[in-house]
Amino acid sequence: MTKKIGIIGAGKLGIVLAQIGLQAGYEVAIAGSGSPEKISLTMAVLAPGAKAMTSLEVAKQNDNIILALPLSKFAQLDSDMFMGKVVLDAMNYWWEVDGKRDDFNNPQYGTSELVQEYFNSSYIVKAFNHMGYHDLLDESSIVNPENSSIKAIAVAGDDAIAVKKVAAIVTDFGFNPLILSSLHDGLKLQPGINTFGADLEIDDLKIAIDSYTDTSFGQAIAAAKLQ
Amino acid sequence: MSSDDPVRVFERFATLDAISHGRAQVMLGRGSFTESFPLFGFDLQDYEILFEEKLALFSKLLTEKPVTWQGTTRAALNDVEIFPKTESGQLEAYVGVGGSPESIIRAARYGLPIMLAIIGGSPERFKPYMRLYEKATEQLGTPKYPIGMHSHGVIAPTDEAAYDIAWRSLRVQMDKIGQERGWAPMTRERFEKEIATGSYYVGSPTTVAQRIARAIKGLGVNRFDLVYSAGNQTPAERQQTIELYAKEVIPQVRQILAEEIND
Ligand SMILES: NC(=O)c1ccc[n+]([C@@H]2O[C@H](COP(=O)([O-])OP(=O)(O)OC[C@H]3O[C@@H](n4cnc5c(N)ncnc54)[C@H](OP(=O)(O)O)[C@@H]3O)[C@@H](O)[C@H]2O)c1
Repeated sequence: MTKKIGIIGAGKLGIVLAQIGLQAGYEVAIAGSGSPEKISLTMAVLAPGAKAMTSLEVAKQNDNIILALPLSKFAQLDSDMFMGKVVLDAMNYWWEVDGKRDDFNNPQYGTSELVQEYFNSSYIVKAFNHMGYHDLLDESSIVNPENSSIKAIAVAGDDAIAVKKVAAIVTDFGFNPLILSSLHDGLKLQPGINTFGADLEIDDLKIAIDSYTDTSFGQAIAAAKLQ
Repeated sequence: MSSDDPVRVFERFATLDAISHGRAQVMLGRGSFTESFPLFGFDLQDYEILFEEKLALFSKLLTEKPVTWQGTTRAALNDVEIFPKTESGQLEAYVGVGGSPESIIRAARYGLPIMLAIIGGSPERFKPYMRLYEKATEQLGTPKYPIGMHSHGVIAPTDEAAYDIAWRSLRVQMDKIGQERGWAPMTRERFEKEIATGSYYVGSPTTVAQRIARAIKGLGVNRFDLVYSAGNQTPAERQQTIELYAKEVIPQVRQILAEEIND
């Protein structure tokens, strides 16, 4: 049976993930904020084969769904539609888009935990957030089999089965999954940490994660843990 | 343009066009920095609508005919003539685009040519966006213009000298922007990859000419703009880049491209 993936958000990241998914042999469904017609030309040219639909349809038709929309917009989605599904959270706090938000910059509570709180009947797993969209496309060993090395994508979640499913998707997409111990640990992949923007092989990504206290946001995370 | 006024932008550039004997060119952009929004009393929440409306108005102003326009971001215009007019009757204007497909389709919709802002990675990455522009113009029935690109660069007499300047100027500026956005700093490996095959045109005139010619051919663009001013370069260093670019790089690029056409 063909594997399926749903993507919500048809911007820079969503399109790249659609391209990689198609290359990996997945059936790809994708939605922007509006009608499918709005993104159909873009998809036809940039990711031919990806099916443009509404976010409602994407959610309905898929068990594994990537959130690739601005972080400040996830609550526009109907959480009931995602009940029981594995939701890959690729979203980051980008203040220029999301506005200044203290809750998105909280060293005690990761943004993926906020997403989990909202989609409280889904399995949230943080993945594909830390690498830039151009790099994702260039580094995917599925898209570019001639690459000399396989790069790593960190995966953070609380549900072991969901994490395993996401790790398999990461592998299918041409990356090495690096599994962190919890969704909370996803904090170490957020903006302000040296892992953010990381385009590294698995050992180097491990080192970057382990040295998260090198930055001030990382120190704040460590301090919050001690409290 | 999002935080400027389209009428004033037109007036200023039309004036510049007159002073410079028709050499003014406008690059219109949404803006990838946000300081100007609060400075001029705009809300970042209106990012999309500001650019959309202002581009719509500006594309009307470019016709240099009486303009009637109405929107939410500035006062309406009712059959108004804007002065000065340009001698050619057509101020050259481009829309700068990054990796957002929306921006490309928007430019096609208003019948404006695009400039690809390529600030990192291999330029070939932008090929699909060029296809999108072409397809969009076909679908919308708007003119299909040649496409341009811009990237950062530093030129010096030797590769080493240019590398040193770029390492302490261009890289430092990129890291500074990155820090504000939470990115990890650039590694030396990454920096060198940008110079070798990516989007930093850094080196001696011959090195830079070869890289530019390769990018122009690889992408099939018709225009290349070098952003020469990044970071804490001295005026002398900037002048050096400008001078070497004009005197040595451009002729060499032209020669390489001509030779390959003859082959
Ligand atoms: N760019 C990267 O390199 C990168 C890398 C990793 C992670 N990320 C994260 O990925 C997310 C998307 O970033 P991006 O760069 O791709 O942004 P983008 O180019 O601005 O795209 C955002 C997309 O989300 C859609 N959207 C907005 N509200 C929506 C809603 N309520 N329902 C469905 N779709 C909605 C937008 O649709 P409309 O155009 O119709 O509004 C647009 O297609 C962000 O959280 C970002 O932090 C980005």
